[in-house]
Amino acid sequence: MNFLSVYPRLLRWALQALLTLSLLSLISCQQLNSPGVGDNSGSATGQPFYQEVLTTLLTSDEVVPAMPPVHPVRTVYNREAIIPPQCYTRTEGKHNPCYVCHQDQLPERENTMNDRDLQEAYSFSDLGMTNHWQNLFEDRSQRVANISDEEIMQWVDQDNYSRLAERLRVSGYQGWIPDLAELQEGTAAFDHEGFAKDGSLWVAFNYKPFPGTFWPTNGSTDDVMIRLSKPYRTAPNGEYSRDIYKANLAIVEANIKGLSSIDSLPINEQRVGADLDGDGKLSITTHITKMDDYVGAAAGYFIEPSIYPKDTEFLHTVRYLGFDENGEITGSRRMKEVRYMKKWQTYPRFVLAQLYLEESYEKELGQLPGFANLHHYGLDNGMGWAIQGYIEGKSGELRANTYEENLFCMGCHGSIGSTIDKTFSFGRKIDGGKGWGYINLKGMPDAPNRGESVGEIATYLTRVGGGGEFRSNPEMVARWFKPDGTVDVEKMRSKDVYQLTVPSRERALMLNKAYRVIVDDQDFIFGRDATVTAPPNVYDKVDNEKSPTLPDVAQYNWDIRLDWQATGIVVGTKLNLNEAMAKK
Amino acid sequence: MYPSSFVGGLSLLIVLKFSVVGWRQGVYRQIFAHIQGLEIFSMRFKVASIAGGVALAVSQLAQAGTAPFFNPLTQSSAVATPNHINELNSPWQVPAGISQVKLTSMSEIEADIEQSVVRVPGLSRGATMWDMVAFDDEGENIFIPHETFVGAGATRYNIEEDKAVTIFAGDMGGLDGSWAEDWGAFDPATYTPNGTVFLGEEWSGEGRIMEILNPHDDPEDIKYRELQTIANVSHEGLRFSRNAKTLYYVDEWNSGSIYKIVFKDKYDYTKGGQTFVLKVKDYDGVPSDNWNDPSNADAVRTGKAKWVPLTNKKGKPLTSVDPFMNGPTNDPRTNDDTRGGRPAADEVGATPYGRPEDMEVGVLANGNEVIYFAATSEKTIYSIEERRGRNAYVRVFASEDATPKNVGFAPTTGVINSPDNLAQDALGNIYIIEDAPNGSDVGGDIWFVRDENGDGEAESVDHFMSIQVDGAEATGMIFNPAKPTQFVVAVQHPDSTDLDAVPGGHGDALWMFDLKDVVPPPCEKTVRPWHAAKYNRGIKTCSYTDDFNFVYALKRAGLYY
Repeated sequence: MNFLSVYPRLLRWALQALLTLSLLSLISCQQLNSPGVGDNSGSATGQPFYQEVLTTLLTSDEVVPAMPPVHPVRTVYNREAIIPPQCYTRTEGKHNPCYVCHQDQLPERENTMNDRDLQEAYSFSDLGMTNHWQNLFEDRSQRVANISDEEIMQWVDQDNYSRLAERLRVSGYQGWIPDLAELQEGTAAFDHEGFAKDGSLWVAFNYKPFPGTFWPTNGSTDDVMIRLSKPYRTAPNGEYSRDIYKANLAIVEANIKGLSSIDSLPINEQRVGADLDGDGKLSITTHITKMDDYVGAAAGYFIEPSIYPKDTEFLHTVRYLGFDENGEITGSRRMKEVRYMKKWQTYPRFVLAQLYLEESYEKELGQLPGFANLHHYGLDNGMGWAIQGYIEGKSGELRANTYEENLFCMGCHGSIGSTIDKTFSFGRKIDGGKGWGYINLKGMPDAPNRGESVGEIATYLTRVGGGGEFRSNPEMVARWFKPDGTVDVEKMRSKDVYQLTVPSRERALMLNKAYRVIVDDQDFIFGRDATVTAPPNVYDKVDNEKSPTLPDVAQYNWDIRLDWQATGIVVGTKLNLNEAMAKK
Repeated sequence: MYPSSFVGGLSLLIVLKFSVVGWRQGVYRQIFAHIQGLEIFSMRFKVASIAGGVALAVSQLAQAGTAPFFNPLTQSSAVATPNHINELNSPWQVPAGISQVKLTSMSEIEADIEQSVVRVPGLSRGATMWDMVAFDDEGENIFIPHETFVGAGATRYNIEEDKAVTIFAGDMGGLDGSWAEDWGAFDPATYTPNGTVFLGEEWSGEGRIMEILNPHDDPEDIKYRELQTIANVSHEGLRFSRNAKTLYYVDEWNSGSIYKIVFKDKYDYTKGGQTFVLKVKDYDGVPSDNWNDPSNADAVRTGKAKWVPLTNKKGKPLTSVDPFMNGPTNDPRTNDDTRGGRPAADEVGATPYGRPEDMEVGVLANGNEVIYFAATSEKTIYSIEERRGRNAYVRVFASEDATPKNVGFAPTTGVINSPDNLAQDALGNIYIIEDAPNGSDVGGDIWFVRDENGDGEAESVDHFMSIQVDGAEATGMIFNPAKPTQFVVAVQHPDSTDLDAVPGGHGDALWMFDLKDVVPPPCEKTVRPWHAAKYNRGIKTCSYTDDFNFVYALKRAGLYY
């Protein structure tokens, strides 16, 4: 090996070392006075382990980032990462973005978190009282300004999904490997009934994004797919049957939503071998009333209200704000995150109740949250779901989440009271057959939540007093609020979810750039919200005792499910989405 | 087996004696070796009238307690990754001189077609849940209860044969709400004075006590019955009194009560008896509320107390709620199907505690029986001194807030986070086992409670051991009644039990520890006067047990004055 051949490598090493040092220096400057707890005992660098992780993420493009050889909890910067940034919003005694997460148990619901009281007052652990999501307070104005529109548009249009599976395979990855071909293309990956064209048996569904952060106007688009396990897709003889699959998907949907009957995609009852609609004959049906059991090979399997079958999988991609050929905003080809969860253990309701109780005991004892580490399958949320995410690495290629990045998922998918079996989107799917297919906000009415009459989005804006949890979306305020500060419900009534929640091109570009900067920093553990400047309505510290509380009149009972019937687009009507909207 | 329990346990006391006269460490070891060589520890004495009474364990006749016989730890362990060499070879950090040897594990049992163990399919690391194990009298078999939410059962492990066999398990009907032949979450296994085994349902099932009548028989011959005479609660601690007539138990709940049943016939538990719950005299809170609800936050829960009857002497309920009603564990304030012992206790005004869990029964220096129980949510261990009639006295025995740690030794940074199980050695010392680390990176600890003057209030808690197994908690610490320098502790639900996540995982395991090489503390005459055993003139020990078998053993060993 001669000098010349070595030299470029030396140069590379030197540059890498410089970069590392400078980054460490930067991180140190940012973090030395931070409230986070950094464990550096035994660290070779003397730095807290989380900083070693950050350095790895900045200097390596591994699809499964190497972690320090210590217990993963020791690599965590924020042991309370399960508390999302939104929980640090200033309610100021009147603004309530909390109600969509924190609710008491509803009848027949397995969720007994019963945390509605958190609408009233903050109740953090000592560690949690400090807002560790420091990225919220970072001013990215200059760095955002340095990114051109063309550059960011090119960035978000690039495919970073297709290569992920092979890269994981090559790395010897043992967890779930993405198996839905062409997902980056969105709707083109699915047929007219929402089934993946590649035969992977993922099925896309059309749901209304959860209020706040998941609205495009706050930075991201997304999609969700479900897949039931083999017995739910096959006849007793083991042969695949799309009719059986469709029937079981409908039964699961009705079960999760607590419906006694439900519309479905067209199903050939003869192939299913069951009179699903109870009309006394085996024919093609689009309505199911038989809800007490699954069909096909899964007949007789465990079924309880609001609980998914064992091995149910969800695939959720979070994307930038993309632009279609007409310049309209849509889901981008590039993915910010690929999120995967699998119900690897199904617990009956009485066990889930105990698990919630145990969670409360741990909290009462002052213990910080802990979760079983499933390694390449991510973390067990303590309720039977294995959750693993993939996020953009420094280069923009997707990589597996670190332990702490997965930890971030555990709060929303484990310890809040409004979810149904720890999930959000499926219970918010357009009911029945019309809700199968890739997400499409166009034509989707602003359905009210169950038990309410005003559209969910209009209601949310009213209760929150802004266009998102942080009340720092001026465009939403300009669009939907009157000069007197009240929401223009009438104006909103004629709009669909796309019109209500999709930002302007300018805002979309800005939000994309803001997130791009975070990707460049790889410091998702400090927050991944696409903010350019610090939102003014966020606490850096919360005092459980002294921070303003919300009075009773500003607290709300709320059901995550939507009343699609009230919009006239589902059961009992023959209208399709566009017809329904036209009628309105 | 009653007498032999003490022989070994009290042999430790012999060593204490020698320490006073200035013998050196090597001598202690020789004595231990000598005693063990004589197989005194395993002597079997069949006392017909109390056959099996030994399971009362050392504890009931021992007397709390001594100074620590070890140098306490100064910090909790760091937790390693699943199947780490620590998990495989030395899952606990222990003081110098204490040995730890693996008895068995899920991976070993499941690799041998001659062995069996409960593993409920699909429950990952919660699939087997080894909990509070019980020795038989001879210290030869260990009964492992499985705290799985359905399909719960028991496995018998024979130490000498190194063989495990499932002797009892549910049919999984609980998944569909059918508990007729299924059981949930067996937390305690208790070897009874009658040579049977109690298994108690904790947070799953219907709050029942199952009695295995012939626990040493082949699995196909096992006979069992549900004891309808013991109130249905969330069972954890199950311990007998010294005279074997009374069974103490708790309701693990944040408004949990303390119970006892005085059996009509201590040889047949189906004949029932009178059930009581504990009520502190000055308690003026709301019994059905949680211990820390505003209604109870300032209520007095220590001091003079009474055992209030839930039933008459024949076992007939005195309450409107049937204490023996099977049912789920839930809040009786908002449900009407709660297992009966809970609302019945509320009805008579029982004092609520913060999640009572394990118990031990011992003797105070004044000779009164004492019941220790861990109130996990309160980070406190209480002692209940039995007094004349139905009177009792409740004290804080040890707590995170009130009891200093490692007094006289280097301090520890460890914290009593989640006191759960209790154990008792032959000298009456109590050990606190924490429910941790679970998902944390800091090990759960085992604490030695120092109550040298035996007054039911600890002078110190000393950091004894710390577990370093990922995702696990330590359960079931119990001393061997036949070889009291030995004790076992189980590793419950480590991540490595989940074979999907950790292929080849080591799994739940049982470890044996031995104190025989540890230098015991001096038996200070001023603190703990010598006592002359009445069965033999002139033999003096630190014990008040008056156990003739112990004296016999001393004679054989030539180790007495």
